[in-house]
Amino acid sequence: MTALQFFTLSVPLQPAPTLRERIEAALRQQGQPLRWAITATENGAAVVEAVICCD
Amino acid sequence: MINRPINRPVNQPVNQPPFTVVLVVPTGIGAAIGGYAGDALPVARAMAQVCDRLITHPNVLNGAQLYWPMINVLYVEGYGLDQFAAGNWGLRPVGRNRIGLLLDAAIEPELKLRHLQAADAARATLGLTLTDYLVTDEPLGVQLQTAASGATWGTIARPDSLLRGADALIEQAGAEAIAVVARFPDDEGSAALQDYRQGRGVDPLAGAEAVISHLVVQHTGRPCAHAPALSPLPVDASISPRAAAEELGYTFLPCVLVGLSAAPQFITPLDGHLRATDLRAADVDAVVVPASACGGSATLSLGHAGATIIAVGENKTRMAVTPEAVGLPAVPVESYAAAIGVLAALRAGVDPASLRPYIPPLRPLSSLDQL
Repeated sequence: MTALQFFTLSVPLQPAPTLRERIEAALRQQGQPLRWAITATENGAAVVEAVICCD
Repeated sequence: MINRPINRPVNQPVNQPPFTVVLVVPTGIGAAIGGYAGDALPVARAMAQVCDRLITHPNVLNGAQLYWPMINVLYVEGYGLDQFAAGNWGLRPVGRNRIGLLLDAAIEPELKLRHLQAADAARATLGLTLTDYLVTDEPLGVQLQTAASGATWGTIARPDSLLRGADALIEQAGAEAIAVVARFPDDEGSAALQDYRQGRGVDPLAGAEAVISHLVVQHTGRPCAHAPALSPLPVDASISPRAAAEELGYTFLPCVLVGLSAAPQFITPLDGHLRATDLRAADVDAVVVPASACGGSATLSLGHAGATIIAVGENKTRMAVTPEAVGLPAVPVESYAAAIGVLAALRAGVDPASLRPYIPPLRPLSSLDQL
């Protein structure tokens, strides 16, 4: 059964064109990304809050 | 569904592609405008007058029992909007969707009847098309949460039951869009609810609502929107006008049904090729977003793809992500009125910078490396 989990992670702010892809790649290590957003940036990194579908 | 192209306005030159704008006000982040009960709808109404197609999402257009359907506005759920913006899905405008109504088994009989009557009213009074309804095979078990940022989110204990119900409505009843009504916890008396009703807090329900509709769209590839089922609240004379639309009756369902009735269908890779009248991410000319909330998937995707990002300063949120922080070039404006002016200029082919009193002179390129 699919379960929903909340994650917070930090992704380095490297050149912008790949930021979304890198965030989603990091989230996919936990499960299927459902909803996420960068909520802040600090120390050269994006703080991401996400809800993930996990089996 | 009945497919239809978006009408081309009479002042649109035939050789110019339709001017297409995305309006994003993320839900559950305490947006000063659009963080309450459909209170960004006036922005959408005004903005729709200066673009040929406006793509926006339920949080902007849903005002409980208030709504304002517009022929050039596309009602696109957030997960689908993210996929569209990323170039993964297309949008196919339609004239009508058959809506399947999915009710949480946790809804009490009287509250359930209120929602069924709202759905029947939408059929009889508005002429909308609904399939027979379905009740989930288990209570969904909605739980509300708040993240460290202040954004709200939530979970449901039985996503499997939600998705089985959506599948059954599509496969057995022929639904083309799914309206979900889940029983949300009554938190009367909580500080979060009181703040929200006063127009100064974060919508405590919004994040969980988004999770529910995202799940259905991710799973089915069909339009979906959600209305919470709640016990009526006592009359309060101090309700903010921004939250007042949710004080009008027993359900928040009418706006959802109206929005879904003409929501564009998602064209996923499984559906085959896009038609000429379908919308692609590359069709988007501009994105209007709160200046502090530029860290969402759709904004990042469209900004990187070359759409003009218009960042609205006075729509404060709990987020702290400016366009500069995530490397997005943007046109900063203070208000939505100014954003609408920028859009009118862009649509006319006018550089918005030329509307300002000081225009810097052209400078020579220092080297061909800059080309």
